[in-house]
Amino acid sequence: MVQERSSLLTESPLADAVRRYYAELGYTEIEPPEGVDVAFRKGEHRIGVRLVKFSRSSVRDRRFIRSEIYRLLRDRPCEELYIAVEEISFGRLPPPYEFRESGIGLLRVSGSSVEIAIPATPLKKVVATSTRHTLQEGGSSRSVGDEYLEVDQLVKVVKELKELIEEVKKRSDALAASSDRKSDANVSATALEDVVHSEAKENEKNIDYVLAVDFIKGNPWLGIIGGFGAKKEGD
Amino acid sequence: MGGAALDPRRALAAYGEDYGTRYFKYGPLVEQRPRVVESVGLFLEESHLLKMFGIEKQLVVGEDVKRFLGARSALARSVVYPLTDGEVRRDDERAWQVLAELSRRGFDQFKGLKESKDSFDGFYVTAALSAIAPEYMREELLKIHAKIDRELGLVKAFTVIPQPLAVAIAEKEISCVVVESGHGNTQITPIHTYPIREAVVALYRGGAEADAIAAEVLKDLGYGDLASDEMAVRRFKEEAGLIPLDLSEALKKAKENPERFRCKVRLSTLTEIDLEDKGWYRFLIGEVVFNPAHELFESFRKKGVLSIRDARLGEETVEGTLPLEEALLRSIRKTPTTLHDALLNRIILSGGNFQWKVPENLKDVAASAPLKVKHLLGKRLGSGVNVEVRLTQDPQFSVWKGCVVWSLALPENYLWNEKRGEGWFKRGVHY
Repeated sequence: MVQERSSLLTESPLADAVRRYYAELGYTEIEPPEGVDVAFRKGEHRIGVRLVKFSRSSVRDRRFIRSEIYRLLRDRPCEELYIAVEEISFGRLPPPYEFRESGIGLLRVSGSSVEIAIPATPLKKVVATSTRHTLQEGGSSRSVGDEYLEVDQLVKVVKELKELIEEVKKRSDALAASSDRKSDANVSATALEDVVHSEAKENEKNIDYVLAVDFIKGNPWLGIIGGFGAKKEGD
Repeated sequence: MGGAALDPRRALAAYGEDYGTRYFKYGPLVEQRPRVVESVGLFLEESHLLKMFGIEKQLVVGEDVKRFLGARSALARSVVYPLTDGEVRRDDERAWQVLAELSRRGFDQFKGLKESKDSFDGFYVTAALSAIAPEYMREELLKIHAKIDRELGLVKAFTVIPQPLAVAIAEKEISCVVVESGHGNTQITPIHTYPIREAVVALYRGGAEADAIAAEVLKDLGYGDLASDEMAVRRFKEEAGLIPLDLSEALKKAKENPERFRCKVRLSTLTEIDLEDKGWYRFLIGEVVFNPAHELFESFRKKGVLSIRDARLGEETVEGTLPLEEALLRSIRKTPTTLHDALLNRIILSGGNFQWKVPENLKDVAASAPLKVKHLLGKRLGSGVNVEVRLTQDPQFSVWKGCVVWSLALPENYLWNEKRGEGWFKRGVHY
């Protein structure tokens, strides 16, 4: 199924636009490593792009892209990694800070034009298949510090993935419970409230992040504009 | 009111629009940066070929225009830049259509938010217009946004603020003078918790005049064919242009030692412009916004290259060639005297037209825009006067930032007042 999806996307207009874009930037297309759909090389630098086509469900899309961010961060198949989507739809994507903090970039493909919506941060170390083996066998020529960092990052990713799975599980249970009771006239709102509550919690986190931006935090105009109506109405 | 008292739902719904002469910047606060699209539209002639490809549209805007561009001869009648000097003519129907489509397309990109969140019922939109934009522009924008809401259900409330006020908000300054210089005009607006409208001074000159001088320089250097290529002219202007601290002094030094001021600008693999011994031309490009009345621009005026129109503000006419420092002082003098010192201490320059490079080896003659303004005011007022001038932290996006802050904080129940031109024009109340 994954193979089928992948081959369909690599021959899609989305992939063609991405190929043209990197060709114009002087990159050569290479055989994509596992985990990305297309990959390009300029000198020693490799860029991998995961192509994503939106489904009908925005919630599903957001979850899928979030899990792809975690997966790419874990596997790190190239030095620079992007997720490419056709048109940016806010509801279908995780908030921008998740991209920025992970270092995975976002490419926006609109017709034949491609633009970098969120630039990727080049990853310091690419986890090639052989590297992972070495890590397991412990026969590495790298420093202990490097390995420690890598293991530490992997532990973090696994922890985040576990949390994500828990959250998805909770939500699907709640949704299942609520749909079971839908036919009942005395529907209990608890399950749905749970879903809404967890969604609200996530939003709260995002909103806090948004309100912390430099031009909002501590801005004296917020008070002036906020009291503006009352003052002017009184005039 | 600090950040903690803000309504998180409003933060999700705050949206800003900056209608600039060259670019339209738009988007919600949650993205933290606006999306930018060229403020241009192309009217397609009816074509069977386009229909065969399933294209029924008659108007395309923004970056889509490039996909449909045909012969150069057809461009003049089909391509529409809706804003001239920050304004749209009342009867220019095609320009209003382009502006409406640019706005609609902006919202269309965020319709996913409505689909994914049941609780979301539309954006609180603040648009910024030039401080001297006529009232009918506000009225037209109200109509456009009400229509977009009927179509997409995404504009819950709409309001308009002047661009300089938006800059002051983004800069967190309550008392200041904002000098906003874009492609089409330069607006000087003293602000003290609100723009002091009576003191606004506008000059109809900006990046377009610097482009015109750059194009003439290209012609004089023997690259007349490039003078009509807008992109080439702009690249050349940005690479070669310099602001002289003192024009006469800079020209004298450049003519004495031309090799020091020589520069080569590579526009493509095939085209490189070499200024050879004409390095002094670089200072003309940067000077024109500050003082187009200088005698050195006389020949350009005679050729019709610099035809800057005068601005009419109430009863007063402001000459288009008025030196920038004179315009600044004229504006500040119209404010209460108790504010003069505070305003001179906080002059904020904003807009792409104040972004100029200062090469390390030319620091003795070339200046940044703030340094130039400070120098001009110092010369005019004497060195004892305390003058502080600075650039906005984010010159291109500061107007949009101010808009989203306004959207975030303006109280829900503060409704549109036609006389004041303030407040929310709201769904369910006004449309």
